[in-house]
Amino acid sequence: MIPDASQDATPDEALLAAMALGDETAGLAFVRRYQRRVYGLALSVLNDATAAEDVAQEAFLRAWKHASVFDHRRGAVATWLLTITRNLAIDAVRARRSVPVGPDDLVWMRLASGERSVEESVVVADSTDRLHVALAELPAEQRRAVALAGIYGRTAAEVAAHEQIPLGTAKTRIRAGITKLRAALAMEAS
Amino acid sequence: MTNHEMDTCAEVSAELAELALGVLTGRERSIVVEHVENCDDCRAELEHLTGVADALLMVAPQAEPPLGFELRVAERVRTGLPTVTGRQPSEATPIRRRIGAASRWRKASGPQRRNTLLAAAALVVALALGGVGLVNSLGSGGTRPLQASVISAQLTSASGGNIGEVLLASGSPPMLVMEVNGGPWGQRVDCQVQLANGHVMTVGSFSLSGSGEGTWAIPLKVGLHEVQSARLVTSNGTVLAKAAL
Ligand SMILES: [Zn+2]
Repeated sequence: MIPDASQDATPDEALLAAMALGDETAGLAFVRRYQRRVYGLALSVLNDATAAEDVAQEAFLRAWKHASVFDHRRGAVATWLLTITRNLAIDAVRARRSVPVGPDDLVWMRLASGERSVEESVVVADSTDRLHVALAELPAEQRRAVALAGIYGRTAAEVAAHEQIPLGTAKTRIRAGITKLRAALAMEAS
Repeated sequence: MTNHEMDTCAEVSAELAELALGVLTGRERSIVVEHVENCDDCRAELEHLTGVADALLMVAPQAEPPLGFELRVAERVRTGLPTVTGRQPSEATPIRRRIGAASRWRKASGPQRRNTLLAAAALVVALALGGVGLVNSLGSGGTRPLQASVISAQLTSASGGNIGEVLLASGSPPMLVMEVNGGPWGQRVDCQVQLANGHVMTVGSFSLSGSGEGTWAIPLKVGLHEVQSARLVTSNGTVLAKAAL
C-alpha cells in the first residue's frame, strides 16, 4: 500500500508501477504530487482556467494509461509528464487558434524568485534552483524568447511576430538564451 | 540558408536549440533531423540542449488546480479508458473465451473464486490431455483431469496489492494458469517463470483487456516442481507482480 504518497519519498517510478496495476491510491498520490506543475504549465500556455483543467486532466490520463510503458532510462517522470502537458496545451492553443497572453516579465520575475512546491525531491529542486538563477540573469528579451519557444511552443517566426523583430533576431535570441542556460546547468554538473 | 543545402554542422547547430525546444517545423526540421541522425557531434549537442529544454518545463509557473481535480482525473481513468486490443499468441490460451462465467471472476473472492479457478485448472488439464476442443468434457469430468495436483499462489504487485492468481496444474504438459484482474489496462504483458536452477523463462505473452483483466492457460515445457515463482512483466521489462509457487 502507498498511503498518501504525495507527501512521502515514494519514488515516482514506484507510483507509476502501482498505477499501471490499477492502484488508484497510487494514482491519486501521483496526481497530487504533480498537479500544481501540470495545471500551472497548462494555465501558462492556455491562459484559460477551463481549458487548462481539460489539458491537465488529459495529461494525467495519458500518464496513468501509459504508466506501465514509462521508460526511466529516457528521463525523469516529471519531465515526461510535463512534456505531455506542454504538447497537449500547445495543440489546444493551435486548435483554438487563440492567442494567449505571452509571458511578461512579471511572470518570469516570479519564476526567478524560486517558488516551488513542498512535494518536490531535493534533487529536482536543486537543479531547478540553478535554472531559476540562470533565467533571472538572462537579458529580458532572451528570457522571453526562450519562454515563448520552450514553454509556449512558439516557433521562431511566431516569436518574431510577437516581439516585432526580424526572424533572424528571434532565432538568435532563442539560441543565445538556451546556450547560456545550458552553460549554467553544465557548471552545476561539474 | 535558403538556396544551399544546410549540410554543415555550423548551419545545423544554429537550428539545434529550436529543434530541442520542439518548435522547428517543416522542411527546416527534416533537414536538421536528417543531419543529426548522421552526425555524432550534432547529436550529442542536441542531447545537451534537450536537457535544457526539459529542465525549462520544471521552472514553468505552478498553480493550484480547482478543488477536486485529482478525483476528477481518477473518475475519468475509471470510466473513460479506451480499450487496446492485441493478438493472442498461440501458446497462451485465453480461458475466458472458453468459460463464459470466468468473465465474472473479477469481483469474486474467497471460496467462490477458488472454486472457479480450480474448475478452470481442471479444464486446462482436460484440454491439455485431450487436446483443443474439449470444453464439453468439463461436465462429464474425466477422472484424470480432476485428480490433477494444483499449486496456487496470489499474484502480488509491487505495492503489495493482490492483482490475481497463478495456478500450476499437473498434466502433460503441465499448465500454468494466470488470472489477472487488476493489471495495466490494455497492456501487452509477458508471463515469466523462475526455475529452481535460477533460470527465468518467458512462457507466454498476452494482452490484458481494457479493464486490466485476463485469464490465460499456458503449457509449460518444464516440470511442475521446477517452477519456483511466476511473474508478470511489461514489454520494457518492469516486473508488475510476482507469485511464489
Ligand atoms: Zn553536425
